[in-house]
Amino acid sequence: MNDVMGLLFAYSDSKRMGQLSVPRTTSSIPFGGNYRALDFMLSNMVNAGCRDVGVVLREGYQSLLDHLGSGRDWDLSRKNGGLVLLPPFGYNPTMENRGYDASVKGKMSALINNLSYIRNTRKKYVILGEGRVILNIRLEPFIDEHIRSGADITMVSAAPLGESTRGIYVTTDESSRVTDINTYHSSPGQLESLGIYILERTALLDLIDYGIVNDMSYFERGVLRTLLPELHIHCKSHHGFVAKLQTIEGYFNSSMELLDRNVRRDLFNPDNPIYTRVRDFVATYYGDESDVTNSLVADGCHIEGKVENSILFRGVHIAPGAVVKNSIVMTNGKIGKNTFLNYIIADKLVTVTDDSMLVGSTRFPVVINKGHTV
Amino acid sequence: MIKKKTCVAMLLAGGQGSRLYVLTTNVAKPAVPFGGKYRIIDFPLSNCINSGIDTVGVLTQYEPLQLNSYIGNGHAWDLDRMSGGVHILPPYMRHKSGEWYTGTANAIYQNIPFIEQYDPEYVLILSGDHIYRMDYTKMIAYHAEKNADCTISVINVSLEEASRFGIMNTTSDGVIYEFEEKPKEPKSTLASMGIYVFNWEKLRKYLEEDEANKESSNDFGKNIIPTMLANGEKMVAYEFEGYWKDVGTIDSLWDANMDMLAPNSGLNIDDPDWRIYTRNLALPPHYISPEGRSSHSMVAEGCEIEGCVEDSVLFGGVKVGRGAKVLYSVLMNGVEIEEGATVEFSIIAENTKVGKNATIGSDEEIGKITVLAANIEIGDGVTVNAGDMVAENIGGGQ
Repeated sequence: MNDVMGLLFAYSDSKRMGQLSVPRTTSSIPFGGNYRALDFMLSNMVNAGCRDVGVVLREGYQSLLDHLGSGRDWDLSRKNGGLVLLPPFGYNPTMENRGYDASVKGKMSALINNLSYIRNTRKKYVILGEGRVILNIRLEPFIDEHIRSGADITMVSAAPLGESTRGIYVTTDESSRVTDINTYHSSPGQLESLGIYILERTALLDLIDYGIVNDMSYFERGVLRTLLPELHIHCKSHHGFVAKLQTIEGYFNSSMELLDRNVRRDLFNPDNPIYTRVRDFVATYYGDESDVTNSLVADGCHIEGKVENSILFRGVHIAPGAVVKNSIVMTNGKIGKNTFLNYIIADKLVTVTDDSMLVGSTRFPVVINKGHTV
Repeated sequence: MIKKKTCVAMLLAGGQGSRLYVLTTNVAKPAVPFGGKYRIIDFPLSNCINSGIDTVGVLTQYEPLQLNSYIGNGHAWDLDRMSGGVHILPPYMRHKSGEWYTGTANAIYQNIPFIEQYDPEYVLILSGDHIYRMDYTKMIAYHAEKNADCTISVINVSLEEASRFGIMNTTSDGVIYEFEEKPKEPKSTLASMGIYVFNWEKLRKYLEEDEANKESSNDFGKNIIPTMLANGEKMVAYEFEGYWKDVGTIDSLWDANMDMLAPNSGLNIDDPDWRIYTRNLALPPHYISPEGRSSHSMVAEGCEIEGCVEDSVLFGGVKVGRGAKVLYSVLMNGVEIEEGATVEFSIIAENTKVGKNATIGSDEEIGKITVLAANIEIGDGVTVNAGDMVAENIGGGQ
């Protein structure tokens, strides 16, 4: 499918990601040893044939700009189109010019703010997605089904992701048509929206217009919910691994799920590869005394200590005598000699000095801020 | 418009590398994988860009397909440039004739028009057979300072080794007065590294004369260098200090891979200030299972280790099954070692599969490296003896 474009919402709206979202927006949080959260949805869009992907930014986007560059590593550095970084939306002149409230709230504001990009990218279909939703999904069958069903919008859903998440929940009838949309809490039998919507670009433009005229800031609980009686929203479920970054605890648990072979096979399916920024690290070195089990390890690490049930990002050094258990150590972390870490999330460039002991718990993994020395 | 360049590098990548046997059946030697993530040619290409040389001609002839697609537009080495960049230069038909590259000097001769476009002061001649990290700018500065016509990079080898190399005999100020190819009784231990800097005007003159000489085999080592020396041109030796290894044989290729694991070997490629660039595969991090073990080894992305890996180099996407043992071996991209198999002192090329409980190589005859070619399958329970080279499938149950 070539006649499709992507629109990826990469702005943060989760206050509960704590210290991990201080240096960056949620979509830019490192995940799975090599990746940033939005790599997954961005790769899914590219693999579905999108040659045009607009990434909507708002705040804390410096790290995303560094990561994405020209889009080359996702094959999105194109003569025409390709990766387009859409400027931060905040104050909204389009709305003000038309005499409406110009302050910005939800996804609808983001769409209104980028109206000209959507107007000028002349593809028939649009895929909307969220950078903080981590999954590997082949979108082509969803596009095919969208066309076949004749629906106005196709929503990709899954069983509700768990109690700690807040999302958009839908009720469907036997033909999988959405009959109700609510937020915050799901009722039994409802499905959760994964923030992925497939629709014709002209239909999206109509919805944006409706949002402007009716002064609506929210897409799902505003525009879609209001238009439900006349709008045919088709719901199709995804059955693989999904992580939605909303809380530290959820982030930790989803990361640890990667130690399961079946989850890795699904998320890192070689037929639908996940691309990320290329960093030219050497392969990982294991020292004589290293002892690594049940762990996921990226390139460029230098391991002399013991690592168990953990995830090491690129360029992590584990000194002799160190014991790292049930932990996540992000890029270029340095774990000193004779240290003990259990249930720790060490952000990028953290140094743990020799003989330190850091312990969190399953329900409360401790985050060490980016660049800190402890 | 093409901008003038001070120095153009010409990388000789057309050699077959016949002493790598089954490893170069379908690929040119410079495209042979090395060190967990690289191919041999990554080293000279990365040295070029790290040295600020952004114009590189890569001369290809033997099995160029993989090399061509690997290099692509040069982006991986930051060599995709508006002016300059990396160019693949195969032999081509001309108005009246056309021929293969008949020797290293002829390959450069045939590409005089390529070099002339950039109107360079110097031409740097490199080969795609060596693992080393070198700042060519220092050598070029030395060449300019000595006011030389040709500078040859040399490395100090032991007296025993010297008879295996081209040896430069020099005066105390580094001027070369004699060149001896593999001397039985070496007078010096300065071995040529096959890296030359020439003043372009001078080199062009010698290439043209050499081409006119029907007796010549059109080779730098055999013809150009001796002729220039005989004519009294100023030739100096530039002594390089650091790790340098010719990986043209199975043994030296294995050795150099093992040097990746030895902190004292001098081969430290984990240097953020002198990165070796490569074309990266989109692979996830590697995984070591609860039963898996890895020690004194290098492991690249995408591997899944459920067995035991020691003193080995594993490229991207290698799988080592439960109970399998991999010792002192080099497993290239996508190799699969199934449950219970043992692999010792071996080099296994890309995507080859070793069946359950098979035995590849042994540690009884150290120094006898076993080699399995790319894309073959070794059946369950098969034994491949130490030192064997396997180019085709071997079925199980034999």
